[in-house]
Amino acid sequence: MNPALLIILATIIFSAAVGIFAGRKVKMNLENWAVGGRRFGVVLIWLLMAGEIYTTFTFLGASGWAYSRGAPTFYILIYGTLAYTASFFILPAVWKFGKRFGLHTQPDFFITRYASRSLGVIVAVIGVVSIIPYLQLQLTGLGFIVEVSSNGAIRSNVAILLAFGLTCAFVFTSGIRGVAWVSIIKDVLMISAVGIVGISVPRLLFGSHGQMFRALVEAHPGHLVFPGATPNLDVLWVMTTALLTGLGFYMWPHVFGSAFSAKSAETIKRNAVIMPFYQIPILLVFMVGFTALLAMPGLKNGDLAFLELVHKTYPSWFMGFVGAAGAVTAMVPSSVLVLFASTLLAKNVYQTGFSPQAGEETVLRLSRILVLVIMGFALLFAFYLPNALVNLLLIGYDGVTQFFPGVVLGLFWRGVKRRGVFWGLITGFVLAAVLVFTKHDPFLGMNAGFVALVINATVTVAVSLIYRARAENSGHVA
Amino acid sequence: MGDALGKEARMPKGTKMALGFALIPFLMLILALPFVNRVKPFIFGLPFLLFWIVFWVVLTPFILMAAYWAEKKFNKNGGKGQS
Repeated sequence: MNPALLIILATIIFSAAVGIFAGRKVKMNLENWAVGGRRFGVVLIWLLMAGEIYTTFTFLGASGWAYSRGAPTFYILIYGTLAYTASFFILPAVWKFGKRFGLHTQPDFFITRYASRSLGVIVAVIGVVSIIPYLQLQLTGLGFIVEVSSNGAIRSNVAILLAFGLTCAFVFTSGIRGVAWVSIIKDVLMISAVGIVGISVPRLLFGSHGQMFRALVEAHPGHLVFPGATPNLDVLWVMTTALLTGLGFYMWPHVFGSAFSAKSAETIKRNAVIMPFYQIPILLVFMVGFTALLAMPGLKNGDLAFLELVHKTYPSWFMGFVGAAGAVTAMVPSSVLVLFASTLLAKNVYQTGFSPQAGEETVLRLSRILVLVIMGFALLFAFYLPNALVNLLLIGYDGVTQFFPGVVLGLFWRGVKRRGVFWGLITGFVLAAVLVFTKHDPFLGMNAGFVALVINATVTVAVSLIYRARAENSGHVA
Repeated sequence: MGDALGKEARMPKGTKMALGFALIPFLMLILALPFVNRVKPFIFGLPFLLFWIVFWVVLTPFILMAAYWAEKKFNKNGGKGQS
């Protein structure tokens, strides 16, 4: 057995064991399963949220974009920072509302705030539809990372089955607590892998990162300013995309829902203050992508840049370490994705939509079964129809960001009405889908999802004002 | 569900100040981009555009600390964070 293989397998198994162990002493009910009993302090919340942010996309996508597109990749550095800044105001209010009404999920918020079960079901369905392709992406990414870094010793399907079978096991036993604990391992491995590679690679090949950048500017003069190598992604696209994804980040059902597991609003506010520090490793990921462009130009798939460069530069046991970090980096986000997709379906589609009399125990039992079902579907797609969900992935962010007006106006403006949110959400979602699928993204140089968000907010406010005026005219109290 | 929002109607001074602080990253990392879209000068080995972005990303936690402090000091109930 080669050392890389041993390191990867040991890490996957050890991580899952920690996840299973995390829930050992907790009596599992819906409250512990979905929101960890609302008891997480600053450290666990930080690990949990950081665990959700760094996905395989960080390893492969950010360096891949740096490699093949250049400057437009910088939006990744920007949007996280803006997301944390916005969350400083939004999440504590979300948490308080959730605590007051005992909420577990994002659709719960819509149901309670707008007294509308149908709105809750719609939000849940959009949420699940956005999550599943994202989950499949983690599976495919892991297979890829493990196969390359073990030098083909583990076939990708075997790695995927093993890693995600174990992921199901720790989600099943420990719920969100398991996710938070495994995040500890993941964060340590991920940050050290990115730190070591990002700092040493430009030095080894060019002497320093400054010399690497200078060489890059000489070889590709336009690569480090917008629009880089992609003329349709100019500065306006970067601005609108960073804004869209920055506002949309906490609208993902799993990220939104994680806020409820904090022990106080204060915890979550302090967390928002320190989160931007977590963006810094992304700079190192970019540098790896840029170095790869100089050291090994002409790769067919830019997303391979990180792994290929490590493969070329370091001994195989180190490749194993990077592979292990990559594997856990796929397992943690997928565990939280599958946890929330299943809870949304059980609580907000089954219970809210069809069976309001179902008890919490039934909802929990169904959630646990759905973890296996959803992961099973994601596995089937990953193995047999790897490209079937690619289109859904394109509108994932555009879709969930359409929740933003309903959440923020719902928290801070009394005048917002159920019908306003309903029509705004529908208009925004449909418009985003039409623009993306008819290949009008970017639209007039702007991110199509951003255009949809602006229209959505306008409709939400306008319809709310109309209904308020009507209610006042007819003498009703709104 | 109007009363779900709590009783306060007017925004406290500390929150206003915090919002002012929070505006800075949005201005510098979004609105300023067309004006900093250049390679030179290199600063700390980074091309100017990337340096500008990294600079404000690193500064943001400190800006948020200031916002946190403003809410603590100027909001009567010791900040909206209390519950």
